[in-house]
Formats: sequence, C-alpha cells, structure tokens
Amino acid sequence: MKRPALLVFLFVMVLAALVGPRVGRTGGATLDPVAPRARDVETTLEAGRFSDALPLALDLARAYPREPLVRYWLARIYRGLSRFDDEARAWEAFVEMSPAPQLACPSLAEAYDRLGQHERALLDLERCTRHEPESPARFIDLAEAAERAGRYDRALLAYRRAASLDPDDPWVAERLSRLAERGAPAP
Amino acid sequence: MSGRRRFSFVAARIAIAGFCWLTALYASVAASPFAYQQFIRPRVFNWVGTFSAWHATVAWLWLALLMGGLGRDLRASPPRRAAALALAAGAAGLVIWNATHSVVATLADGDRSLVVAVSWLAPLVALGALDHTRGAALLRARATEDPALLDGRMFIAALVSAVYVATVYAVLASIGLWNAFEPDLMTGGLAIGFGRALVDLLLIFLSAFLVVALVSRAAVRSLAAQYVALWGMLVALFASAFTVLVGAAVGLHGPASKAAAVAAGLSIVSVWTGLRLERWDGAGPRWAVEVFLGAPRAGVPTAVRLLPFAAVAVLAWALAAAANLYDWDFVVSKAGVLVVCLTMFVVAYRAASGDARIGERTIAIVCAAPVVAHVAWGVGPEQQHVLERYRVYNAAFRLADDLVRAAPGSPAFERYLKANSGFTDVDVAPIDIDFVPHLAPVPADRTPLIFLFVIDSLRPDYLEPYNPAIRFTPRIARFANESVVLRNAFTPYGGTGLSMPAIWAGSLLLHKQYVTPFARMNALDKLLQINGYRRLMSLDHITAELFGPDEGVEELDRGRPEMELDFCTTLGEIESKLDGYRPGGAPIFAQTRSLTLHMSKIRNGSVGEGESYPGLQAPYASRVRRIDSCFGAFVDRLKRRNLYDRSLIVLTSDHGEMLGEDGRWGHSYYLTPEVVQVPLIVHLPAWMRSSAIDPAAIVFSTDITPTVYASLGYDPRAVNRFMGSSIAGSGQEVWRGRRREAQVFAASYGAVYAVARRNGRRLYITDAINGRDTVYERGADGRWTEKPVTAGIRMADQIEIRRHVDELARLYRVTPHF
Repeated sequence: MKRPALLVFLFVMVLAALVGPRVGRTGGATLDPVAPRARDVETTLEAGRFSDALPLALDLARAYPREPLVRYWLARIYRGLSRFDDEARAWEAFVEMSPAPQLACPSLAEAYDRLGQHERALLDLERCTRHEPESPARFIDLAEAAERAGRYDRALLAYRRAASLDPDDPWVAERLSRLAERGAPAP
Repeated sequence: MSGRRRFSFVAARIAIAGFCWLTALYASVAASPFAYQQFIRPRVFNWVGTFSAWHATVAWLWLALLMGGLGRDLRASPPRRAAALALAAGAAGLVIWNATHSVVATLADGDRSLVVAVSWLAPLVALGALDHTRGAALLRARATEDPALLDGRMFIAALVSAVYVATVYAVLASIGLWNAFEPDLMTGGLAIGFGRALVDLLLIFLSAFLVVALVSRAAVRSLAAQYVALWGMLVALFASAFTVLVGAAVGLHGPASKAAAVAAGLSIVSVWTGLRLERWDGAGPRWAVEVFLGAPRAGVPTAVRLLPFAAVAVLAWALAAAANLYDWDFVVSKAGVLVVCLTMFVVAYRAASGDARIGERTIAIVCAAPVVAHVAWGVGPEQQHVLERYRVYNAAFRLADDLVRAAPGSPAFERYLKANSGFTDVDVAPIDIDFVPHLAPVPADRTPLIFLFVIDSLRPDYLEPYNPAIRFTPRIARFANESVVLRNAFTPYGGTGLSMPAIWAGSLLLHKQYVTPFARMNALDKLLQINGYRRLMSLDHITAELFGPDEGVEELDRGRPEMELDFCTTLGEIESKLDGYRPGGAPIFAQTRSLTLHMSKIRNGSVGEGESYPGLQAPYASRVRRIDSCFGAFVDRLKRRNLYDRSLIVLTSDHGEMLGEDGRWGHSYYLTPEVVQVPLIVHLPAWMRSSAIDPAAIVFSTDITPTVYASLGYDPRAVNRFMGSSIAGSGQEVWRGRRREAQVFAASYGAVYAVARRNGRRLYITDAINGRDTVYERGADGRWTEKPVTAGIRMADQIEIRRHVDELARLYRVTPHF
C-alpha cells in the first residue's frame, strides 16, 4: 500500500472510532423526545388538551411502534379522556417495552380499579414493588389497595416494608398502628 | 532583525495581544447574565473591578504600543501602508469610543458585550494580516523534502507527546492523591487510569499527526495551500476551545457567542503565526507545518534538547497549581492541559531528528493500536467507578476522556434544556403569586417578629443539629433544640440568583434573572407590607434589583460593599434597631444574606489560633464557628428582652457549596448533594408550636414564605405545584404527597437540572453543559453514593424535567423553544 493511502485508511479508522459511538447514540429508529412532532404531543397533553393530543400520538405510535414514550403519552391521554380500557392496554404495552416500567405505577392499577378489576389491580401493584423494590411509595400503594380490598395481612406486610424503607414516615407508622388495632395478624 | 529588536517586537506583541485578550475575556464573561450578576456586579474579585475601571486609561498605552509596532508598516509600500493606516485609525477609534463612552467599564450582560469582545480581538487579526504581507514570500515555495521524512518527524512527535503528557499528568495525579482517601485508586486503579489516559491521548495526538500528514500531502505542491488549511484547522480548534471552555462555563449560546469564539480563534492563530513569521530566519520552511512549529534543530546536544521537555513538565505542574488555586468548572484546568499538549507537540517536533524515516508497517500498527484498544476495552461498572475517581485527579485524562468518549447524556434533551434555561431574550410579564386570595391584615397580637437569616453557602453537615460529629456550633445546636430542625431540606436552585427570589416568592420561578417588576410575585413582601412591618434588610444587588426603589425598606449594612456583608456585623445592627421596638408597635422583619462563607473568602482563608478541624475545610469551619457564637449571643438578647417566644426565626442558606470534593469548589454550575442540601431550622412563635410537623419530609426553601404566612394565622394555599407549603399545620396529605412525588431542582445559572425522588433519597442530575448525567443515592447514614444511571432512571426523570420546564413556561406564558 502506498503511504498516502495508508494514512487515509488510518485516518478513517481513527475517525470512525471517535465519531462512531456518538452517531450510534443519536441515530437509529428511536424517537427523539424533543423533536417537533414529539414536542407537539407532549405539550398538548400537558396542557390538558387530550382530544387534540390523541391523533398526534396515534400518528407517532404508527411511526414508532416500539417506542415506549409514545405508549406512555397514549396511556395518559386515554386517562384524560376517561377511556380506561384503552389506558390499561397502553400501560401494559408501555410496561412491556419500557426501560422505566415504574412510570406505569400506580396508574395502571388505578385503571384496572376503575374497570372493576380489583384483583388485577392488586397484582399490578405487586409488580410495581418489584420494579422499584427500594421505593416506599410503591409499598404504600400496595398496602392501601390491599387494605381497601380487606386484605389486611397483605397490607400489613406492605406497610412494614414501607416503614423499613422510610422509618421517619409518620403516616405509615399511623397506618401500621391502626392495622394492629384492627387485629391484623402478626407476620 | 537583530536579537534585541526581535525581543522587543515579541514583548510588545505579547503585551498588545494580552491586553486585547484580557479585554475580550472580560467582555465575554460580562455578557453572561449569570457571571455579570454573580461576579462582576457584586465585585466578588476586586481586581476585576480595578481592571474595568482603569481599562480606558490603560487602553491609551496599548494604543501607543500598537502605533510603535506599526512604524515599519507605515513606512512600507503603499498597499501595506494603507492597511497599517487603516488599522491605526480603527484602533484609535476603538480607544476613543472606549474612553468617551466608558464602554468596558459599563459592560453588562447581553450581546453588546460580545460585540465589544469581538471589536477588541479585531486589531489582533488585522496585525496578523499585516505580518502575513511581510512573510508571504516564505510561503510561495513548494515542499522541498521527501514527505516520508515529514511523516516520520510528525509521527514521532505525536507518539512522544502522547506518552509524555500521559506520564506527566499521571505523576501529578499521584502527587494529588498523596493524602486522599481513595481506596479505588491503589496501584491497580492507577494503572487502569493511566492506561485509559494513554489510549485517549494516543488517539488524539495520532489523529493530529494523520491530519497534518494528509493535509501536507494533499497540497504537496503548494506551501500556501497547506498553510491555509492548517491555519483554518487551528482557528477551528481554538474557537471550539473558547466555546467549550469559556462559552459553556458561563452559559453563552447563540450567534453572538459563536462570533466571539471565531474571533478568539482567529486572533490566537494570527498572533501565533505573526510571531512565527517574524522569527523565521534563513531558508524558507520545508513544510507549512514548520511555520507553526518551527524546524527541527540539528546538532543540538542531547542535554539541551531535553531541557524543553523538563520545561513542559514544570509548565504542567504550574498550570495545575494555578487551577487548584482557583478554577471554575475545570476551565483553567482544561485550558492548561490544552496549552501543555500544544507546547509538547511543538517541543517534540523540534526535538525530532530531521531525517527520521519510519516504516509503513510501524506507522500502521502504532496508529491502529489505540483504535483497537479504544473499541475493544469495554468498561464495566466497577472500572467505570475507578475511572470516574481517576478523572478527579488527572486533568489530562478528564479533558481527553471528554473529547474521545461519547458522553452518556442525551444531546437533543440537553439542547432543549439549554434553550429553556437562563432566558435573556424573552420579555416575560410577572404573574401574581398569592397564598391567600384576599390578603388582609391580622390583629397586631398575631404578628411575630420575623428574622430571616440566610447564610450564603452554609452547608448542613457543618452544623451540629445535622451532623453529630460537629462540635463547634453549640449555640446553633441549643437553638435547634428549641426549634424545628427540617432534616431533609433542599434549595430548589443551586445558586443565589434564583434561590433568593424563590424564597421571597415562596415559589419556583421561570429560569430567568429576573422577571420584573417583582412586587406581584413577592408573596413575602406583600404580607409584610399589609401587616405594617418595619422591614430591615441588607440590600445586596439581588434584593435591590427585586425590590427596586422602596422607601419603606430600612437598609442594613448601608454603605458596606456586598462582599463584606458579615453575619456578626449585621446581627449587631439588627440588635441596635430592636432597641426601639415596643410590643404593640410596628412589628419587625429583619433579613440578611450574609457572605461570611463566600468562596472568595474561603479558598485562601485562615483559621483562628488553636483551632483545628480535621477532615473539614478549616477556614470554612472556623467561620461557621464564629457565626455560631454571634447567633447564640443574638438569641440570648432576644430572650433577655422577652422577644424570643414571639419571634419566628429562620436560619437557612440559599444553597450549599462544594468544598473541594472531587476537585470542585463553589456551586453555581454544579448540582450535587452538597450544593442542593441546605440547613433549615425554624423557631416558631409560641402559639404555633402545637402544629403538626413532619421534620423528615422533603422541604424546600420555598416553604419558608408560606410558613411565615401560617405564623401570622393565615391559611396559606398553594394554587399550583410550584408554590411552597407551610412546614407547620399544612395537613398530613401535603407531606404525604411530598414524600412520594418527584421534585425538580435547577442550577441558577445554567442548564443543569436534578430530580429528587423517594423523599429526597435519590437524586438524578443532568448537566446539559458538560453532557453528563449522574445518580446519587443517600443511605441510612446520610451519606450519598454515586450509582449507575440506568435507561429507566434517565427516561423517567427526563420526562419529569420536561414536564417541569414546560409547565413553568405555561404558567409564565412563555413558549418553550430550542
């Protein structure tokens, strides 16, 4: 190989090594959340204009079928429109494809509750505690739902876990003592 | 040109250029709203004020020096004479404009300052052009040497530079680690760090070699073409350095800052090449690159040849020491590494043998090796942690790693944040911030005395109520026992510029300094005025701007420079004002933001005799001890006057501070746990002490104003999620919500945002200026530990930040843009 060709080859190699990862990070078929179409959906949704946001989000969903952010927006739009079955489906899709499934907590469970599927709601809240095992809020959500469903043993366990994660929370301490008064069984 | 004349020429040119660069740097920094408001206006550094005050006078000397240097050109042939005359006229015009309009002395934030910066760089570019008319003959030749010889010298220079710079900075890092507790940086960790730094530097220097070699070959027939190409690339390099180092550090964006960056690049390369052309002796250069670097020196003894290498090591040490003395977001440190790298390349090229011939295979293998290492060397979480620690001590690695490795942030999101932070070009009308719909005065017996003490930069971990290991704040500890200690308090803004207005408003604000007139948003002042309070206030430049001319304010610290606002002195003045207070008379509100702990006084501060603060920043701790003593004496006097139980006393700070952790000092551009956590101790008047309080829930300094409302018997209500809540009597639901909701913080001066979750136990921080994001988690012992940023955390918290920014924009009727 002649030396100029060698130099060009080496230069391209170095350039590829330096620039490649940056291009790879920004390119691809993932949605840029601050691209204009995405911003339209997000700002319309945040402004509470759910009917206007829906067609925009559905458009994006067709263009980016594996984009979790679009499912997240759709779920919130359906909630705003009180279409809880669609909301639940959107959340389920979101949980399945998202690196941040905890964002569906506790909204998905609330959607199931509204649809009258209380047991499914409880199951989803259990799943939430697995998504965020260090979050007291997830255990409190579960405990409250279990308490509402009369599942005091389950509620007690969840409150105890929340109390161990956040020992200073006076509300959890209060709920625990009330449950104890009710005679919920010891663990 | 004789040696003496040449020395005079170089000295004069450096003086001329130095003055222009200093002026341009000052003007560029002044253009930044943040730097102007926080450094220049309050005269944090006296010498900066002296420079601007004397600039117009010194500029005449500069003009005289410039005119003297133009003598030769004014006597030259007509075209050069005309150019020299034009430059002289332009420079004279600049100096006269400066003198008659006090241009530099009155610079303020905005693009006008950048125009001034560019106008002071223009004479250097013009001087460079004149130098080139004299030296143009040197560039008319063709290359007179086998290109393989140039390749050999450049290759050796690149290789030696990379290895030498990596080694020098590795040694400096080891010295810096001398007394540091860094269990990850034992022999193995240091070896990993050095290896990574070497790979990065080899990539950078060998890329430079390849670029220069390719340019020289592409234009082998014309030195001028080579020269122009290299010239352009150097301008781009320096313009980028200006943008990254100066522009990003003070938050300059937009076309005017780009123009300033290009002008800076042009001026540096003009001065560099002008001096080089002037010094060129004898035969013309063999390659254009030699105009920039000089030719290899033949026949020089090895010992003499090695001297510049030693000088580079000393230069690296000196620049690192200067950065250690005072730096801003690693600007001095990074600029120092850049200077060392360039100097090293020049030194290594000139030391290389004139007839170095390197085989193709060797070049190919050596150039490919760092590429292969870069691609193949995967970094796991443990090694990543080691490298993060190594960055703290090795400035060359920090810069090289930033250049070579893809930052973990999200570029589009960062662009969005930058465009929606620090609004300067948007007119925003103030909004009404009201905690009570129809505010009416309360009975006089429900108006406590209110003392709002904000100690700029006070960290909670230097106070006994927050850190049991502290033993030098007994008076604050006693006060805390009689008060409510909010153990989980944060400032929503990591800098005074927005944190103080947010305290007054009791609300988060649009990221703009400032939305004025502020009166409609000043919820605390509305309460004070309607209840007839005497308002005793230290009018620092922020308070003065927020309040405007207000005859009702009794100024504390009148006539004292802002940087001299001292807690003990101000307390003494407040005490003297209390002499006139009688129960039933106008109630008193006193507020001060003391600068006793400001960074400008801490870095080189001293400690009292016999005092020792192992493990702490001693000058800072010593001043905290003094604050404690004065504060204790003030509380004693309130008690003696029977005013203590009818007083609401708030002791807090507007932000925390980095005190050398990870080599960082200050706060303005950082959001770290040390910066966002603040002390908040509230002594409630007797009638409020039975209120329910959740002292472990996350609270903000925006909760202070609604707490003041509650202390007067109002029922303050937040009408949007940006407004604070009273720490006492707000109801359990408020604090339950706080504990589980995500909270968004921002740096006051740049696009750096944070999200706190889990009642403030986890912090996600995204730094759009440096393109990095980090996660910290707080353990049960209160210590923060850095954790890996997962895609899930990034996605969830970036959604939260976008929602926060968009919602604030909607509230203030601003269209978010980027």
